[in-house]
Amino acid sequence: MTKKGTLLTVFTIFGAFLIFNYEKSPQSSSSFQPANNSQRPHLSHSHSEHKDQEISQRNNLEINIANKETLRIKMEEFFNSFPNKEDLNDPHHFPSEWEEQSKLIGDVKQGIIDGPLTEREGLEFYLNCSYEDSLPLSFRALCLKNAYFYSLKLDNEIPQALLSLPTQITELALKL
Amino acid sequence: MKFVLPLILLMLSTSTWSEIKFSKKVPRKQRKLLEQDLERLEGFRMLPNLSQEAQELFNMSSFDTKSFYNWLDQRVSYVLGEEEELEDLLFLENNFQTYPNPDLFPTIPDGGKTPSGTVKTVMSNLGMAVYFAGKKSQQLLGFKFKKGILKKEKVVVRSPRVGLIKVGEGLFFKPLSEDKDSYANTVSRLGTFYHEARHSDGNGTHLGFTHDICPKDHDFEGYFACDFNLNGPYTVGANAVKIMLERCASCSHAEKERLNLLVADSFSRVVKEKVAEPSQVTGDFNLSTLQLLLETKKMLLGFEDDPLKKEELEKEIADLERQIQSAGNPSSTDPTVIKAQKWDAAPESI
Repeated sequence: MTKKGTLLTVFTIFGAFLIFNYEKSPQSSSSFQPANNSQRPHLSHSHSEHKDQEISQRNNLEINIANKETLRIKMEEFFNSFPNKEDLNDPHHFPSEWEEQSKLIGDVKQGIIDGPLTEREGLEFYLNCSYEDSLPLSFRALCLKNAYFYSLKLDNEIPQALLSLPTQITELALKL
Repeated sequence: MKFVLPLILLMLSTSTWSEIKFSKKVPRKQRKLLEQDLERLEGFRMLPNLSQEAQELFNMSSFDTKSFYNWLDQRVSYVLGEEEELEDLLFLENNFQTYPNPDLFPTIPDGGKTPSGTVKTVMSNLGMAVYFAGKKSQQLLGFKFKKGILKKEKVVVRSPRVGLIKVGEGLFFKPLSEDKDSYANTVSRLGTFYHEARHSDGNGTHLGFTHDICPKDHDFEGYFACDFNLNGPYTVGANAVKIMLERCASCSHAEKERLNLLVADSFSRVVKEKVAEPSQVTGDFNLSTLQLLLETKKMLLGFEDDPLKKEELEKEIADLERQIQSAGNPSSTDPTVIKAQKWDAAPESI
């Protein structure tokens, strides 16, 4: 075979390969669908979109459930997570040992407003936090402020136990 | 030429913070963040719902943004880096110096706890400490300040208002928000600035608005981490953060909540009343008894030759003066309870 002939053969094979793949490509994107129904590609596309949405929703839901679960665990751990007073490194400013607890306080608020927490779940946390006398005063006062807000919003009344908390907590909550 | 005028105008417009100088030892990243914080402070817009307490503290009315940042500007002038040792920067300007209120010093209670472990510097007011040391030794002290290789300044400390502040890694290492440029972090850092700035104020026994030991059952029991006054650093810091967070449009709910926690933490350190220690209560705790006691002790001081006994008497006199000031408060009805008051913030000055 001459050099020209060889080149022609190579181009022919390459051309045939391109044409074959060009015809095949639309099917390949929905390879699990039968090719004999002209409507199928459209339907299959729609079905695929729907399925994608379902997957996306399911994923979001799973993420939310996972987030909620993580948050719930952290909310439970919160009450026993504070170091002893004696172990605080530099109490002149907000102790760095309380950073994680502070972050959780922020996450709970954000979680109530944007999900995954319900207001009722938030209220329950704030009530427990307000009552827990082993917690620092600043945390309790902030929880109390929120507890008042969500109690009135959801139940239109303040629980009796909340009303009888020491004045120093109420006074501090009032300043916020 | 057409670029020169705008450049001059720009220089003039940004000169507001030129009064706050950063030492060359302040790490570049920290300096940039702090400069950004101060620029943002200029941009804060006041709203009408400013509390009475905030208006009094910062000498401002509603919508008055300028007074808010001027307040800080007047009390902070030099910023040192964490690695700089004050001892290396000090110099003696004058071997003998008379000071106002020469016999009056803050009463620092005995027995405060010291933090455990290594302390990361957040921020501290060294200007007040230099003034205090000068007054105590009756010398005039100063410090050398290096802004750059050829930019050195010698600053004589004639008032706690000299505004020498040291910043440390603690101010930056655990930011409130993961986005280091966020406004929430700015508000948090500026709150600390306002707190420290208050230490540049005060005179006599209230010089520098020094902290008190937190009382029994307090979260910081035993540490020098409380104020026994109603207008000290913790009140100032809390109010400053509150003002800024209420106006922070870009702060998330989580960030605002955490800033609110800082406000709560600062306010929780303001001790409004304390039970007088047994040594402070003498018979019927009333004003005339205390005054009589004070006059007698002052008289005794004149006759005393023993320096140790003299020093002890001076301490007792200072304590009594403090008690008399508290007892003079008409709301103080319980004889064993001393109420916190607002301190005179006017700074001492030579």
